[in-house]
Amino acid sequence: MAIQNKEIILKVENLYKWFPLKRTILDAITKKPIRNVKAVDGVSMGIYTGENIGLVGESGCGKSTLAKTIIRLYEPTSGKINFKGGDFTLLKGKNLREKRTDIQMIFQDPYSSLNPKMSVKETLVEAIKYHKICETSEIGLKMNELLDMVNIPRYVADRFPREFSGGQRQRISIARALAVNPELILADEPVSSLDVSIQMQIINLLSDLKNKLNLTVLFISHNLRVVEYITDRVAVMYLGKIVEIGNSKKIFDFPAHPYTNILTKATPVLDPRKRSNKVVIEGEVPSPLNVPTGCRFHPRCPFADDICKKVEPEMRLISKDRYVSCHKPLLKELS
Amino acid sequence: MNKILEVENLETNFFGKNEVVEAVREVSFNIYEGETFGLIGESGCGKSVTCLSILRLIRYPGKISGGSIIYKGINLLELSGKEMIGYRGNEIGMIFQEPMTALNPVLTIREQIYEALRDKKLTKSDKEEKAIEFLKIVGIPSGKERLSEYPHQFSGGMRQRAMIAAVLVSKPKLLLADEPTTALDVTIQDQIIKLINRLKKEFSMSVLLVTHDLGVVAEMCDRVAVMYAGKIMETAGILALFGEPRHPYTVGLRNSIPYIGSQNEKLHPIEGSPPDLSNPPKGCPFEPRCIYKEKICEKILPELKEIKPGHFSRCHFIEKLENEKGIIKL
Repeated sequence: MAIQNKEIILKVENLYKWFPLKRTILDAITKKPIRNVKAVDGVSMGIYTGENIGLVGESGCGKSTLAKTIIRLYEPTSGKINFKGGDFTLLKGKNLREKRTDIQMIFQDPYSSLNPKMSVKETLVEAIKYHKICETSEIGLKMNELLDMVNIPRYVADRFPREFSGGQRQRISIARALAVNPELILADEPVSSLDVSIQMQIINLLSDLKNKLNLTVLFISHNLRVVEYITDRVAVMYLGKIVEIGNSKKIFDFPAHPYTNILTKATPVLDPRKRSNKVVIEGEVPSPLNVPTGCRFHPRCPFADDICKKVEPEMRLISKDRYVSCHKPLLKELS
Repeated sequence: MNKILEVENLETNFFGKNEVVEAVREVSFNIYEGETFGLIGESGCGKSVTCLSILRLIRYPGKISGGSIIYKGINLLELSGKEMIGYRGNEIGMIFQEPMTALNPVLTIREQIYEALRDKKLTKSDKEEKAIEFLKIVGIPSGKERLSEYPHQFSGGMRQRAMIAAVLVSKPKLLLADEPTTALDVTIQDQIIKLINRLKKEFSMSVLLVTHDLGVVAEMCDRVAVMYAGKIMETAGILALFGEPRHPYTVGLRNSIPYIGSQNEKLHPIEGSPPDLSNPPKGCPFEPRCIYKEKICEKILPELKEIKPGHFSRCHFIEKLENEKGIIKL
């Protein structure tokens, strides 16, 4: 799936989202500094129109926060979000509401993201009516069209979420997201809570819809195999920052950042003959409350040296469309 | 090799107000000493219930309705409640998917490990020494301090390690691991997989691994049973399962995950969803979703037939699957 026109639909520049911890009165009196959970800590990236880009990383690395900040469910601490050439960061009220129909989100858990007291019909019609997507007389038509798109039979429109299986609920969530004719879909782990055989149904549905409706998809997942399978490009995130971004296949075949390398190695190989007893990486991701100095991966990096401890690496281009933030990338130059 | 566990025609049902859910239906398998046996399948297929049935931890309204579970020659289903207690933990240990819910949140790690040492007539300092030793074995440093901490002070991976330590202190001979890595990140999953593999050898245990993840199976198991709708559909050695799957459901699972060699083609997952077990289909439970089905499948449940030594499949049309590729080339 090549990207034909390299037009950027969404550009994020130096985006920060910090969550300050609560201070007690004592902390305020003793003038303890405010501590922040640095969930998104300086992310810059672009998403091309029509591409399917993956966002991978371990839990707590800020993937979901990044998506929620992009769609402004969280207000960014600082930084810029540029959507289709316009500033999305400063939009307010009516303008924000209107623009938001262009970006929609699909959530991980279809059990909690659908209102249990609303039937499928009510869920879909609410979005259509609120955003005045079509004439009142055409709402029924639009709803049927949506249900057909996600392969939910029309006659179940009056049923409630509890009457559907996980896979069907996720289809309904997708229909709800599509109800407002978005251009960019932020899919936050849309299949992780589903069974293996259902996962691929949903993934195939998403990529079919993407092609049919010319959507752009940001696919957040921790499953590297799935991301490699469906995405054109991928961004790897670690502790609030993107450490590597580029063509999915190339990144997973030849990782340049040591962390990407570790992620690919830790994903079980589907071949019992390639078992090993060696642990890929010891230890755990540090807390986003105390981000290490210098390169944030240095305490766990097998190649770290003095410069990594002191200087935070810049994002730099190492080959065509491939950026890495590492002082000593595993790949120096690629043609 | 000796069999450590023989499960024969196990049936576990859950009795609701108006319906009976047949969660485990005539399940039979053996586990040999020192091996890791995998039980794989999707949620609701009965793999966890099988695991709990072995320890007789099925609670009302559930009931083990038939079959036998022979552990080292003794049928666990015929033991009295009191005798059974002697087997739980001491002979057969179990670790769970979500360590946060499996550990008691209001007890310190010390209390939870001591609980397993309760009947061993040890002094306090012996117990502490032992607890610290086992925390070290599972990879938790500075055990002395961490013993006084509560589960919420541990990270997900550390909690799983602590739970493994609490199970290991009793030195069980059979470890039941119910989705031990599902809630964890890949790098932590990798650590726990290798930890269990190492401990299995060190403590000469057998492991029954319940999982839905073929990747974890590839890393851990020697033999595997594939479950669907409460029944075992295929039992095979690990290489046979990955190399030449001989049941349409196993083949469907293969088609549902991207793997090297499948990257450029469109995957064709299994259509539909599993049947409702309160009203299980009369014939083959996989029939509604099967691409090889014929008329007979709807009516008659196929037997679990041995197609090669050690390789069993429950399908009327095994010959149709002869050319099916596996994930790996043998």
